[in-house]
Amino acid sequence: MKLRGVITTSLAISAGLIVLLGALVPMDLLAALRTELLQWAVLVAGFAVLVGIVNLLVVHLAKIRNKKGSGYSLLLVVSLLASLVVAIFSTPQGTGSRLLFDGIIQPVEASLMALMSISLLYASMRLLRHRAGLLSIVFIATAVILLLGAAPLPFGEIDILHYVIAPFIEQVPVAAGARGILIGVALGALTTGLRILFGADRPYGGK
Amino acid sequence: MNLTGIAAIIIIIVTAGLMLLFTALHLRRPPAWRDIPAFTRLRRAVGLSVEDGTRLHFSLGRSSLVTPGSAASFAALSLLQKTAELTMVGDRPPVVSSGDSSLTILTQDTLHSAYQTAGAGSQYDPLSAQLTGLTPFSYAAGAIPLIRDEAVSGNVIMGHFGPEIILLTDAAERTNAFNVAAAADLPAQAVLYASAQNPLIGEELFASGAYFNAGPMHHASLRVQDILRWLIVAALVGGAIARLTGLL
Amino acid sequence: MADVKCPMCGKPNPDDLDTCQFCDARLKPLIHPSPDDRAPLRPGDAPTKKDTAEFEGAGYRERLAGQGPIAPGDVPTKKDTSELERALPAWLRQARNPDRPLDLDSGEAKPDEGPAPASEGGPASSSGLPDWLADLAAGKESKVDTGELLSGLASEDESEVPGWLTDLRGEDDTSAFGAAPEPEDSLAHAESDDWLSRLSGESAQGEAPRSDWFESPADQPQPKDEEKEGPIDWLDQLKPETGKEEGPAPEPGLPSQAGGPEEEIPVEEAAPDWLKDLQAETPEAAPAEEGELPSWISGLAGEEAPVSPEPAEEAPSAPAFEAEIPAEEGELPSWISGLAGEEAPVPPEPAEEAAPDWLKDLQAETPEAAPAEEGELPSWLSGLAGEEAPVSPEPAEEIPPAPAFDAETPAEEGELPSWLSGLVDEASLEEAPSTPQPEAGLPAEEGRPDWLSSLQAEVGSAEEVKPPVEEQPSPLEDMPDWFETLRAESAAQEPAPEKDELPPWLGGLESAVPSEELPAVPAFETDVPPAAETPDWLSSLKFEAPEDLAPEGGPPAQETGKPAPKSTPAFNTGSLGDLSEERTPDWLTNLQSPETPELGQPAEVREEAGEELPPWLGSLEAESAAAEEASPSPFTPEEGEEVESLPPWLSQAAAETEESPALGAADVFAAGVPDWLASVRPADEERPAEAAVPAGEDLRPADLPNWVQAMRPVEDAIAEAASALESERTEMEQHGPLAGIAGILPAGMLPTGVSRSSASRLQVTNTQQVNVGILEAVLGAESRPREVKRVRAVSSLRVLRWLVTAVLVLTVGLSAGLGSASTPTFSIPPEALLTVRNWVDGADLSAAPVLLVFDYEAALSSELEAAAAPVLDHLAIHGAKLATVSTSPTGPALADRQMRTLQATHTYQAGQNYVNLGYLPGGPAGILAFAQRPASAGGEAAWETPVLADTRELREFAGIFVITDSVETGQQWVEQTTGTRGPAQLFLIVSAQAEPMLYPYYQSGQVNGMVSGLAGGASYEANLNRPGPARRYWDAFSLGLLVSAMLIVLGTGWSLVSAWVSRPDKDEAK
Repeated sequence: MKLRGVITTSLAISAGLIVLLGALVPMDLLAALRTELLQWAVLVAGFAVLVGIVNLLVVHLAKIRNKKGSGYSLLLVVSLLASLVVAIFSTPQGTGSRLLFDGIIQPVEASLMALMSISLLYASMRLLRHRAGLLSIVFIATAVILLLGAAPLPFGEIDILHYVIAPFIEQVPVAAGARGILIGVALGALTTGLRILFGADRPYGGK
Repeated sequence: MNLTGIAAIIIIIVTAGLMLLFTALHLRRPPAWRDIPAFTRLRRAVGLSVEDGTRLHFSLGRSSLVTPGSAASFAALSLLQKTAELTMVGDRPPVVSSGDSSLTILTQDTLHSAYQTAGAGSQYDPLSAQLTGLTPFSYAAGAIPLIRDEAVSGNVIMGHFGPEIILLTDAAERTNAFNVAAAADLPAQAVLYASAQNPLIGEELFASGAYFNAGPMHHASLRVQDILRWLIVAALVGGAIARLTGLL
Repeated sequence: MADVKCPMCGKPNPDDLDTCQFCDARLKPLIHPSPDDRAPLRPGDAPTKKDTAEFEGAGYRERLAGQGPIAPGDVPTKKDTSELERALPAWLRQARNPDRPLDLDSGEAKPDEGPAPASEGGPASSSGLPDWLADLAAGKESKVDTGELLSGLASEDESEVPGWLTDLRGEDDTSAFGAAPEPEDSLAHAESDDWLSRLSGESAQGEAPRSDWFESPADQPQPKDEEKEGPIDWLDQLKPETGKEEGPAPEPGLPSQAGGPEEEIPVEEAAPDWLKDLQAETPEAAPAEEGELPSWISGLAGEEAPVSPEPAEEAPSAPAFEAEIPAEEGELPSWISGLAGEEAPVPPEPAEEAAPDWLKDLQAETPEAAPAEEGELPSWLSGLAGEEAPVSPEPAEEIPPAPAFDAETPAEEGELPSWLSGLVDEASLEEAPSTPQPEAGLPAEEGRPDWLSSLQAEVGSAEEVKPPVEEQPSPLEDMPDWFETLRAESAAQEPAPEKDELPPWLGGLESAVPSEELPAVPAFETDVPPAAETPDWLSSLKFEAPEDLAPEGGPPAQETGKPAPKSTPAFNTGSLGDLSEERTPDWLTNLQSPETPELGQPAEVREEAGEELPPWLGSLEAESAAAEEASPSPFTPEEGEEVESLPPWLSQAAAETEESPALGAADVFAAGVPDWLASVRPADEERPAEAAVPAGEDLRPADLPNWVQAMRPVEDAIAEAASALESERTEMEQHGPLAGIAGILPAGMLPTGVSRSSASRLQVTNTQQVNVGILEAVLGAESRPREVKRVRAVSSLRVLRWLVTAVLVLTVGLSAGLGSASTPTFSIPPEALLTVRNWVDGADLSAAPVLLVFDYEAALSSELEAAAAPVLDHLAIHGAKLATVSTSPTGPALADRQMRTLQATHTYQAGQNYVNLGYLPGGPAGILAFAQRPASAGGEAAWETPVLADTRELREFAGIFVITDSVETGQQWVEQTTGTRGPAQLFLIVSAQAEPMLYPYYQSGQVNGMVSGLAGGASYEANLNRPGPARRYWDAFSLGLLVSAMLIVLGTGWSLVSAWVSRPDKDEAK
């Protein structure tokens, strides 16, 4: 491992341990260090947004140069620069920014959400095509029940559905399964974090 | 320090000790894991991409490094590094999309590290790790063109996602490209079950490193996960029995 | 050293390895940035199209090389190739550094050592060399002395040396080796040179009345080496002669010594095609004019005249002569050198500076005729011609060494046909017989035929010691193929082939010379079997030589005090005389003409040749004037039609003969002369024939690169020099990736498959045929790609997708657009919702602000705005001061949007009733930091507003409402504010998708209340009895849920039915 790797690995392990111990061990020094490190993380995260935007800009500029998908890339770059100009001169809470958000961002994202719902519905319809089996049928049945139990039907409520079956499914099997999954995910997250603390995983370029 | 903190410290210490123990044991006797079809197919897809000169697309989600969801991103990064080392011998290196700036930076580091490990550090292209959007849906919308790239033969969608992940899996399905998807978010997992070719449910996401032989620590961590899971099951069952019997 | 981890096995490997040392997996990628495409392909990038049309053109190579093809006569561009020095093979490096002494152990002489003793060359060095090259080696040592660029060709590195250069080196080896006394070598030596010996012997004995060339002198002593076999017996005849005269003395210059008997190359194998053709055409020695004779033969004729048998007799010590061969003129065939030497010593003339040695020699011999002849003919031809006429009385020793070849010369000669190259070398050596210039011969040896090379070598060595040496035995192996074929035909006495089978120029010969006109050739001695294969013209040479060679060759030999060549008496023509006398070509017949005695007068010959014939033929013409009359030469104007069919070089020669026998040939050659000829020609023209410059004077080591450059393909030269057959073979591909490459097998010639018709019919039974048919069917079925079923699902899937979209849009859109409110809300609101409502109603919201966290995405704004709207309305009703913050970049905008909605029904002013603290970066860290120091967000101005003027801590807020669509975000706010929010209440307004995961927080008390989704908002509105957006969406939402559930059920049912219908039959499954 090169010197750079040693330094980055040491910093990562130290910061992780300090934040972990600062959250668990009631020591003022550790708490102060943890708070300071978190402040740095906030700054870094904020600056990372700028870095990400630059990355986005560079990627699409490269596409424009290569004349491959240059139309959309050009539109993206122009929109980005226009939004920047509007936000600078109109302030983020100004009329210009509001118009951009209400006129473009929110409708587009809502449309994507609608598209997602259609895709979900379509995928559910074809689930048995992908993987036919009992679990798939259970999955579909559960989804149908929860859909119908999410709100009163146009023709009225079905008590057993809306007040018995749906809540039961949602709060017992679904919650149980979800919590079980979350426990497994939590365990995975724990071991992943420990691997990083041990330096076994060094995605920060420590190799 | 409250009980929660003490319990957390104990759990962390035990977990760390087990991981170190099994890491040492792994050197003597590597474990054998159950077959997970998604990983098997992913391994095949990696080989095919190298053979036919195509590339793999990694989508690492939109989790920031400072959020709990970053665990899934770290697990995906481990898989990315391992897969990048494998596909480095091909004509086209993998391309990575992410929805968070810090994750993008980390992705660049990971790819660079993979290139260096493969002895081709000069071949690294920073633009192979792209930030496609800062919001979930903008990120998904920005990643769709990468999935539809004719040179992409496989998609590894792994990390922290919401329901928007279905836009990615749906795009992958339309292109008839191989895709394996995993998410730490429960709604996303539900969506993946319905839409992805090869979904990874639950902690399978965190087993990717072990299945791709990313190192003995990955094997050890997977063993520790199993052990802790059984301990938790035992605790839950014991607690329920104790509650039923009036002990608690 | 850093380790590279194997991507396959994960084991560390040294970074310098390409493949894993454990599993052989590739460690380094195969990605190689190309100069034109440095950036790797990125996703979304279409494959780069490249215009490959530039590769189509035939001139691509030239463009690629940055220069056009070498035009005839172009001087190779001198370039600095020093950087390529290391890449050069050893022999070439040696060539570039001529001063470096060569390895004597390898049979090569050091450049500064002068003529190396023949004994220096070990026998081993000669192994593997053809005999003719071994003969050439005789003159190699002296070549090295001059520092000629190519002097180092005979390097020690055999492996890197091209074949022809290896052969050249063999000359050196041979030369060195030849010095070693090896009686056994005399076998091959005699074999190779016997016909020359016969020449000399004949010339010595000089039977004037006969046609000198073809009459085998029966009276001449025949070689006694009857044990020598093979087609080269006629050369053996030389050997006995020399052996007789020289006794057991070694013959250093003999190629046979170098190559050894085992290296005897079958003559026919080495014979070029055109020579093989000759075999059929030239069995009969037809009388022909001198003009019809090839130049080299005419040169012989010219030489023969001065030759007298006397020198051979006077200096019969062949061993001595041979021993000195390598020292000097190793490149001249003995018979030529002997002839030249006999004619006269070449006077030193400065004009030869730029001329190859052999040209200088020729010029020295024919000073007057040289300008004209050389202008007309290729240098080698003119050189040959020059040999004939000019006879300088000066001894060879007095002549300063002629300059070596120009830098261009080697390249040019390299393009010559082998046999022509050999002629060139011989001629060059003949021109300066007295000047040892081994370097000059080297380049020309490239394409030299064996027999000529050997001859040259012998003569060269002979000249060094005794320039006027008349004849030297040459190895039989050196004999060119055509020579062999000639002999074979002669032996077989086959009838001459038809004209169409003959090369054009030979056909002309045949037609011009009827066999009946051929003079009877005296029978050669038949005691030597190989002699039977000797071509007629050689036989005639033998008879001519005695008379002509003796006078000329004698004096120089005497002057040098060295034994004269044994050529005169030693000829053992064997059975040459028996050979195809009837079919002797014209030009051979001319040689047999009684005019041969006149060959002793070189001046006359030169004059005659200069008028009507090419210079090189002029001498022959002078010698055989009568033969001209008897049989017109195919090269004469009368045979113009035949001239057209001649090979280019012969055609040109014929044209020169016709147009300007003396001077006009330059024009002819200017048109299409190969550059090797063109480059030689200027050199000849520049210098007068008299000019004699010391050998190697103008040679510079730096010329070697030019020589190398000249090896580049020269299309013009190739086109000019190639024969008609070759031109057919070298058709250039015009299209495709092979454009510009000659000799490509045409596509039409490629076998397209096995033709059943051509296959022989097998004896098979019907049953077998049936079985074969079955097998073919089975194999065909295996190889036939399985028909892929059409994916009809693609279109149906798209239709289905559009169908689902249409159904949802219609139902939800119509319902929302119509504004129906028929669908009831939940009659029993959730408990968590009621908790919120109750807290709002009971809290003192005027004392403390309420913190609103807008952590949801714009995509989910419709749901969450509808869920949060009644809560905000309720708060506004109570006059709560609101502060908004967000951990999402779009949160502040969503907050403003929500507040604007609120402002529609309430008089809320920014800064007065609410304040936006903006965006909190860092996720949970930002949340924690905000929880610890809320004043750090939004700036100080926000905290000075009436909303937050009295608030600095999180606990000072009355309540915290987290509006989020994410479970994670809700968890973060719950967890990160647990220790800091104090008495502040925490409520969640979440999306319906997050409710199951966040509801436990409400159940555990970490969250005080919860409003979930559109249903929660609708219930809250209903509970407040203030219809809002949730109510407007409620009917559409309800209808949409119902339709979605129905579609899922339908889709699932369709899938089940489809799966049932499309299930494989039981039979198929079995």
